[in-house]
Amino acid sequence: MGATVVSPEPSPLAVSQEDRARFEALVTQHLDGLYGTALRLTRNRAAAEDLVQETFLKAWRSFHTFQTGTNARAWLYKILMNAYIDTYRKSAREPELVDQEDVGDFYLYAKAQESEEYRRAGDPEEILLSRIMDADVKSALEQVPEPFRAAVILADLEEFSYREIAEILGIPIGTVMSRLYRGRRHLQRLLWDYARRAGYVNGENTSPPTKAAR
Amino acid sequence: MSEIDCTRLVELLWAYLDGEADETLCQDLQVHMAECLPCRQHAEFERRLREVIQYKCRGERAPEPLRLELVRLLSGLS
Repeated sequence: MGATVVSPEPSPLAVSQEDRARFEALVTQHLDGLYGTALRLTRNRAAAEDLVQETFLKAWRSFHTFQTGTNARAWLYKILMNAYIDTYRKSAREPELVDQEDVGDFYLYAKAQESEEYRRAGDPEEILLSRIMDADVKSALEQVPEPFRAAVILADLEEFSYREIAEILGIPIGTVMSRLYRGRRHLQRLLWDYARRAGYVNGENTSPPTKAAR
Repeated sequence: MSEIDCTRLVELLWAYLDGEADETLCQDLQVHMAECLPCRQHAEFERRLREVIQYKCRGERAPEPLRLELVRLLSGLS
């Protein structure tokens, strides 16, 4: 699948103190970010810890190929993604995300605009955002199927550029964009369900259950 | 000269919000949004939605045992 990041060469026998110090600085700097991404990918703390550990071990083994001054963060995420794909996506086929309704790329905004309940309440965007603020957004994100979830995580949480994501995932930029848009649409659809449920739970749904009853 | 209308803005909105639009395009989009309240509100909604998603999903801290295990492993490697 992805390009090989880890060199088959063993690491050089003599590791300089300087290399070790540089590598330890990378670990300190990127550990939390990589762990967060691993957690959103694997959806499991133990698996995320294993994945991060594997990432740093592989990174250390190929550290001699890493050029100082290049993008260390993207390099580490590429190793993480390759390890993740090797472990979790080996036999997975790309799922077909079927769009039940054609609402374009901005599902939530369209829904807020067309919701009579939200419009009546005055400020549809504001109400929707506050409900999403109360929603379990992590769980919604974790329900976005692969490979779309990875693209959303790298773009929306980690704020990598399309070009960096293409490099990290070893795919063309056009594929990055299509995975990203589809992943976002899927996430927005899930968030709409959460927001709707939150409305019922909080009793904010002001529309009478049955208008016909009048 | 801006050739951006509402349809075009929607097509380009993700690229704009993702920081992937070049300077000229950004300016054209901003000119349109300055004149068009619905497009301005839409862009603002998507920007804030992303902030909410980031606020809710980021900021994980690696567990201390993992950090210690990494230090231990790395010190043992040549």
